[in-house]
Amino acid sequence: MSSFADLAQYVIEGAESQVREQVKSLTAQGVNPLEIINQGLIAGMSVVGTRFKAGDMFVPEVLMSARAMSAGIEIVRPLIAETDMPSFGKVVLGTVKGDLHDIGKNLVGMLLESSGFKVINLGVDISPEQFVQAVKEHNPDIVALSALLTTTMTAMKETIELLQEEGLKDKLKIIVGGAPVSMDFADQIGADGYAPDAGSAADLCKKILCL
Amino acid sequence: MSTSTRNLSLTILDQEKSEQIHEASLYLMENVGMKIEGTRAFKLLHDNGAVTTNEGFTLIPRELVERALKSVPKELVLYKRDGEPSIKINNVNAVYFGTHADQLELVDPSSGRVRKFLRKDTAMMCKLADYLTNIHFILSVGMSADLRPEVQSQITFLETVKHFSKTINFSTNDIGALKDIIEIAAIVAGGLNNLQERPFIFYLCDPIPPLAHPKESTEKLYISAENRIPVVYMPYCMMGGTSPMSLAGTLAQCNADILTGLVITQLVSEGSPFIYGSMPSVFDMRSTIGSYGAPEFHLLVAASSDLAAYYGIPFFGTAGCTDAKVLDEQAVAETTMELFSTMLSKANIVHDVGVMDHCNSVSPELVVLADEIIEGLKHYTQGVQVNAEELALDVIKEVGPGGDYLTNLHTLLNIKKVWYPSLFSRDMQNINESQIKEKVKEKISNIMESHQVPQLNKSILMELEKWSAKLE
Repeated sequence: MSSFADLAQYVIEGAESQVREQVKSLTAQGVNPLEIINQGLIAGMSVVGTRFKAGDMFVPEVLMSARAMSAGIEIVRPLIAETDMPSFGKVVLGTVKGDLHDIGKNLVGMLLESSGFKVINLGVDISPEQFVQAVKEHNPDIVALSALLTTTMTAMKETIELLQEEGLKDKLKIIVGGAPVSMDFADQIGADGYAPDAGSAADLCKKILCL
Repeated sequence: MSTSTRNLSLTILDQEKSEQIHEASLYLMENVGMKIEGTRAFKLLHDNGAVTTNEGFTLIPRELVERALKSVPKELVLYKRDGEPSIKINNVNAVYFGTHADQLELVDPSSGRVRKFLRKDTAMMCKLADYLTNIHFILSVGMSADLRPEVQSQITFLETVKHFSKTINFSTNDIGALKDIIEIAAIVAGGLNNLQERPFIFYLCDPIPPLAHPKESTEKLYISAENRIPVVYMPYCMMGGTSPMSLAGTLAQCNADILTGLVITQLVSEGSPFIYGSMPSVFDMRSTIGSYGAPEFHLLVAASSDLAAYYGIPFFGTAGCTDAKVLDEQAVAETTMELFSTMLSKANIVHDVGVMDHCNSVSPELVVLADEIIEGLKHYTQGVQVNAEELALDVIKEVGPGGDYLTNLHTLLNIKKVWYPSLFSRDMQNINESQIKEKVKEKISNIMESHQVPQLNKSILMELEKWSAKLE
């Protein structure tokens, strides 16, 4: 007999194939697919988030759990109307113009995804115009800007200014991060939020979207 | 002890292991390839036999590496600002240390608080480093919070060259700043020729691991080599993030990145001075920081120094830094472990002394403590000489069984061979509270009050003022 508790446990263990089997078995039993997501998959992932914060789980383990959760969601997705799919929101993410540093930004993307956000990762060296373009195309709830260099921090300001000029800034929230970035700097350039690390970026996103 | 010459060493990678890693790096260069950007370096590599795959990865043949290893200078002398030789890398096996002229944040010794690093703080860091005997160079980066990013590197260098008389290591935010600083340094040296002959500056730049060399990096290498300014090429990678989760694999990848930089410099200008730098760190999977105090990082720094020695190239290392935010037990433990490791290794030029909070801040107090720790460790790395004089059999015979050495002339003549700490306590009766921190603070304020950094001559200062005016 399959149970939500087992499913959650498999998510915690990052056991992708067991998650698939469990989800299939639960759907075969006629369990509500939304309940499978909320009480099984997301419940497991929420334990993962807590354990990561406590230092009991490591990033690659969190990513394995996230992958297992996604695999489960993909199975039930066809059974649920798109509008009913639980999602915290959509995030457009990129490293700003002139900056080629990738890893920190990617980690933020992966951890946001594992927390239930839909992430559009634009890549590195993204100009203000490209961010504007992506916002028009994807209509995100949040734009997340990354920079590792003190010189490219100015491109964060330029990006925010262009979003403002284009009348897009009030429709979304902007968050910034990266080694030289601080809360002061975020306030100074008119960002809506700053997270010191990838782990807290998800909390920040939930907080500023009042979720 | 005036010199930091070492008479013992720790080998992490013997000849066989070094060869294996060398071969692994060549495999990566010849078969996996590098992401190379910057048209000049790209063309130069292709004119000399490199080919680029359909995926855009440039394969670098081993002949290019072998040629570069032959032409790169095996000895290097770096000078003080006045042209006196200071840092000598040769078979004497000395080690030299440096701290930072600026950082994102300063652990302010007057308040004990961490705050943003400001332009004025560079003069303070310079004065401190200028005074301390175990600090031979300073790294000017360009991160002061009260400077515009476009001129941060140049202004910080100007502040540094005015307030520091020893060797200056520098990095820049961009390519333009590198060109500007070479011009500024040439003024101080009395022309570019003098600067090339007696370099008192050396440059620091880096690829973006794994195996990526963006335009900024290859152009920086190009300009350094063209101008024959000694250049450190130093990948900073994090195991599990930007390098594989294995020690040897991380070394092989770093080595491939460094050799790629070496090849570019030697193709630009055969025989241009190149320094092998490597920061194979650990990606902390709990906090997501790149660690500065991890034992594996410093093991791999020492191992990388073996690789540099295997090639006969000067090595640029890292020590005297910590992940701790304030000066606590962790800070001193990590700093000491690293300094000990690096002094036993084959590192020649060692940066980041006093760096805290995994490279967010610099602490003048930690620099002073490190200076003391290095002084003590020099008495360890002197090794043991075994000869008639050191065996002192005649002295032992003279004192005889049951005697004592206190009143023997040999003792009196040799007392100073043993190290006496200036900050650390060896009191017979210690009070219940540590006095070290107070002594460190007092030392810093004494240096600030009484040490005079030699001044540049007026005509040079006027030229530098013109540069400042132009930049601001």
